Amino acid sequence: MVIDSNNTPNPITAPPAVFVEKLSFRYRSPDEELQPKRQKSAQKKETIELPQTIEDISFSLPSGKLMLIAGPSGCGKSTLIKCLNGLIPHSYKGTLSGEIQLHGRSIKGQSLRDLALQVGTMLQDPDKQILGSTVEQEVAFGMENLGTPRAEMRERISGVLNQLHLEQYQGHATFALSGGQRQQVAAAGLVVMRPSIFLFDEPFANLDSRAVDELEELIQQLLQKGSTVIIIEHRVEEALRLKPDKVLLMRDGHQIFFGDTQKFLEIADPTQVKLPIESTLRTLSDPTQARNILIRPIKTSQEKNVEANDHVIEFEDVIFRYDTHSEEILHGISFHAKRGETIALLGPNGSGKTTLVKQALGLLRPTKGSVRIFGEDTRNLSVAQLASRIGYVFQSPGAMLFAPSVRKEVSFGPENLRFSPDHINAAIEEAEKALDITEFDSRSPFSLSFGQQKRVAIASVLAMEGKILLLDEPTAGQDYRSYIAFMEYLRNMPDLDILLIITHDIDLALRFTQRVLLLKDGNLVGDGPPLEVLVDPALLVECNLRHTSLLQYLLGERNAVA
Amino acid sequence: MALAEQSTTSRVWGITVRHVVFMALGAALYAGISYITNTLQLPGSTNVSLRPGIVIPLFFGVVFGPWVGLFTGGVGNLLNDLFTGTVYWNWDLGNGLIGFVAGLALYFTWGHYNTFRNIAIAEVFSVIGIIVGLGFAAFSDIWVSQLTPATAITTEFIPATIPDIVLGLILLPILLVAYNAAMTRAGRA
Amino acid sequence: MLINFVYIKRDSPVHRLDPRVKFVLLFAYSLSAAQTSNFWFILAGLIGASYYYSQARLKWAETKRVWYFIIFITFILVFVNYFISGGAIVQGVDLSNQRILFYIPFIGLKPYFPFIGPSPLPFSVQSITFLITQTMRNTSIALLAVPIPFTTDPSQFGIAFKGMGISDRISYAIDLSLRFLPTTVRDFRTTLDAQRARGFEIDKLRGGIFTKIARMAPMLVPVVIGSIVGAEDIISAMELRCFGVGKRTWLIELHARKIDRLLITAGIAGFIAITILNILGYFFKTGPLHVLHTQGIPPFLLQ
Ligand SMILES: Nc1ncnc2c1ncn2[C@@H]1O[C@H](COP(=O)(O)OP(=O)(O)OP(=O)(O)O)[C@@H](O)[C@H]1O
Ligand SMILES: Nc1ncnc2c1ncn2[C@@H]1O[C@H](COP(=O)(O)OP(=O)(O)OP(=O)(O)O)[C@@H](O)[C@H]1O
Ligand SMILES: [Mg+2]
Ligand SMILES: [Mg+2]
Repeated sequence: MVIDSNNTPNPITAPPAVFVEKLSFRYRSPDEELQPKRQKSAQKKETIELPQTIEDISFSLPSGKLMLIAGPSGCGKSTLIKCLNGLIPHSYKGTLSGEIQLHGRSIKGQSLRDLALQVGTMLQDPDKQILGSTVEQEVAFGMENLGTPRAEMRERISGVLNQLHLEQYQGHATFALSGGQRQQVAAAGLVVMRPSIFLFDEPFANLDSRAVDELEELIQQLLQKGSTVIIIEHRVEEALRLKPDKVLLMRDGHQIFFGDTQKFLEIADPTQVKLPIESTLRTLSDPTQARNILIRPIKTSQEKNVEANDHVIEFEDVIFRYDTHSEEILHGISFHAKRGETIALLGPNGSGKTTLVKQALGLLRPTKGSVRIFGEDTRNLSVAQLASRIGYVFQSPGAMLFAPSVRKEVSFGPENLRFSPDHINAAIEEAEKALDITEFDSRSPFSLSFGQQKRVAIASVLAMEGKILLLDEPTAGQDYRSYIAFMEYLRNMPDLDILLIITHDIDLALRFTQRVLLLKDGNLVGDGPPLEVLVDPALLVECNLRHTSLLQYLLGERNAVA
Repeated sequence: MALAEQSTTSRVWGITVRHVVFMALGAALYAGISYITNTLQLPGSTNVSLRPGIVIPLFFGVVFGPWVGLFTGGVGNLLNDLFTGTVYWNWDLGNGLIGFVAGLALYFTWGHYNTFRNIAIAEVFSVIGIIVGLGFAAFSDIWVSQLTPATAITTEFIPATIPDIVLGLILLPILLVAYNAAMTRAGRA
Repeated sequence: MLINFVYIKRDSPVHRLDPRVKFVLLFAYSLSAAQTSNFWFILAGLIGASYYYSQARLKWAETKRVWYFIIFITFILVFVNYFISGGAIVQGVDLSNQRILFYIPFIGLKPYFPFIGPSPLPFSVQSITFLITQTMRNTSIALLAVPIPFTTDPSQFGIAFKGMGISDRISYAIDLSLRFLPTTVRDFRTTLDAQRARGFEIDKLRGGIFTKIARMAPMLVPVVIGSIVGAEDIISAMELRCFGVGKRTWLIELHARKIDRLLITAGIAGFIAITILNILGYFFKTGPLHVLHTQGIPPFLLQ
């Protein structure tokens, strides 16, 4: 194998940490797998071949460098990672061709066990990655499997926990950790195996900015120790802060760019992946129009004559604790929301956002204070009665989808509310149209993609014809392109009185909402138009909100005008 | 053909990493749903005696095989004992048997539930599983607690078996249909 | 938010026991007690079990919920058993001449139409002794069973099963299910909330019994299917960290002390001795070797 001399800056140094050439892979469809009983007929039956998942990928990454893999959902990023860590071909079957070398050694013929000692992989969802009930057990897991003696395990565990400053969590239950801590603990479980190459699959999803900072620090630390790191991230803007040495951009399984970060920013398409604002400005013919193109708050109510004191949701000094003896989570929240408003509820992990909106739904009742919906106190209404006024879409569509078809799914709410049959049909039709899922009407919701499931979930809440819609982190888990498409669906929804979105994403608040509520430790610390609330940098830091280039740009522009 | 037989055996009886994960998930789900239905203290007396959770060992049995079924039922029930505060080991074993017997359906269905026939087979094995498993538990009480068979049948076997069978027969196909749809998307081998 | 096991962290002689000991004692005693209805043997068992229970230092306030339940179940079983069998309940014991003390009016099964009717229920020295023996037996088994969940850290179950000869994979699956348990409970709660927000009322399900059951699907299906779909990633996570490549070691360690080994040996030896004595009893119709097959009632009570 000849190594392309362009990619190795210094020809006398060691071979690249990761070297991939002409890599292609196609998953085997389940029909192709012979079942003992059908062995004979399978030969006759024509098997449907799945399309090539990744095709002709080539790159080379020197030791100690950081590479970013970007690209829209489904383009094959995770598949590429699976090829590197050996899950392909060891546990996923399919047709693999091409060459992969780690530190100059071909991985062909190496077992998963050999590879695990060279490559550490962090999966996207720490809920799936963490296998131990306690921090200590989680870190020990890999060593246990390799039969490491107990004394050595203990030594290495305390070494790694010290290194990552996690000593105080040693005996803690992994379940009770915050999102950021969990990522750290998952990383500790990898570091303890002492691989030289780390793969991170979308590590920043669902983290608030402090957690992201901590993770970035960890990645920097790994790089300093000479490890090689590859991260997948479609929020390119975030990942760029790590200053990757190389970027690989993929689309539909093909490599469309591999090279230095600087060059990448010049050619990348800002509608496909999330790039810094400069890249968007570059693509616009008239950059001064940027503001009007990007910032278009969703207007809910179509009615023109909105009265100033037409309050739809009223929180009056709401105090809440989960148990009489447990600590107070909400410390006196008051705000009024008027008809026609689109509101973003921002705040760090654990600040009480979900707890707050559950008060409005009656799923939780205020310990003190009151919540009124259309002037009625929620204390006097059952959850089911409230459900006909407020729709709440949970973060994960998987939490609510159950029916055998999309239509039955969407009709579940209206049936519970005992609409008449005609009314139910009309409501379903309208909701399906609004979210453009009519074509899936008879399909099982489980057979749809994540983004489609999300739309089904919203449609099934819309069909209940509540005039208030609450969305809990609607964009989490979606790539940039589908996230923008999704927000445009919301824009075109039939008239609502209020749209309230819980999110971590400042850009979403800036681009699509009229008002921001900022929650911190159960207190409302900010309330007003997005730019006015987010102008205070100290407040942002305090609330673990990440300064984005869009915010920077808008503030800069405002100052320029002023 | 010898090869086919071998893979048949390993498909029904083998224990791979997948099986370990599904065992753990099944047991956690079985105990979790019991915990939720216990702590909810569901009002409406009709629901209290119903254990919707019974469908979990049946489902994990018929889809992933007898060992996963055995573990789901047995360990799931044992974990539930850790919530309620006492260990009835013969009922743990009995619940394990439910899943185990249901899992034998795999011999006829290979874990694919895309046809009416296969779902019907799953139902039949589930009913047998419930009868065998709860029968074991109730009749071992005859021995350990020195009851008469009539007592065991009227106070334990029948009150436990009938609702479980009804619940299992209704909820199992619902889960199997959903599972089938979810698998067509995942497209996993 | 967190789920609560009944486990209470404390330092007591029973807490310090190897979890295997607690299981072995429970099995050995249940299987031994099943082989006899001799009042004195079971009484000895009850005393032993009570001592064991007292060593667990469990407070009444902590355990009363489960004890109410056990008392309720025992009461139902023992008395329903007595009534259903018309008082003729003593198993494995020669009952040819009972000393009947009194009758109470009761209903019994008849061999002719309408198959049920008034019939007196006899109370004899033997049957009353049996009632007491049976209550003692169930109580003593409970005294051995209750300390297991209350005094054993759940994280030790996996390794304990491994120590009882179960394979690495299965034992690890026990640990893993403890890891998943809080997650599934949380998911069930979230799903229940999500469905309630869609007007679903679990306590007011409509329709007949069958419809009602089918209406439980919305709270079951999302969690079950969700966890199965997510399992692919968990499998990957395990394989990537070498699960199943060979013999594994365990971070958590069980220390079998002298007392633990002693108790295990004693438990198993006791069970074997009782079993042999029980078998011998079939061959020797009288004398000390037949003792397990009698109720052990002193002769003067039978005159
Ligand atoms: N096990 C599998 N069997 C068959 N097809 C698969 C399998 N896993 C993934 N695919 C398909 O391969 C393609 C690439 O998937 P992959 O998970 O690599 O995408 P991705 O770039 O990581 O997307 P995302 O950003 O959503 O994670 C998709 O079309 C997906 O449906
Ligand atoms: N069921 C519960 N019982 C007890 N405490 C809870 C419960 N649910 C949440 N909490 C606590 O309430 C606080 C607020 O949680 P909440 O879920 O409302 O935060 P959040 O702002 O929605 O966070 P995230 O961004 O992570 O979704 C946290 O400290 C959490 O631990
Ligand atoms: Mg991916
Ligand atoms: Mg939340």
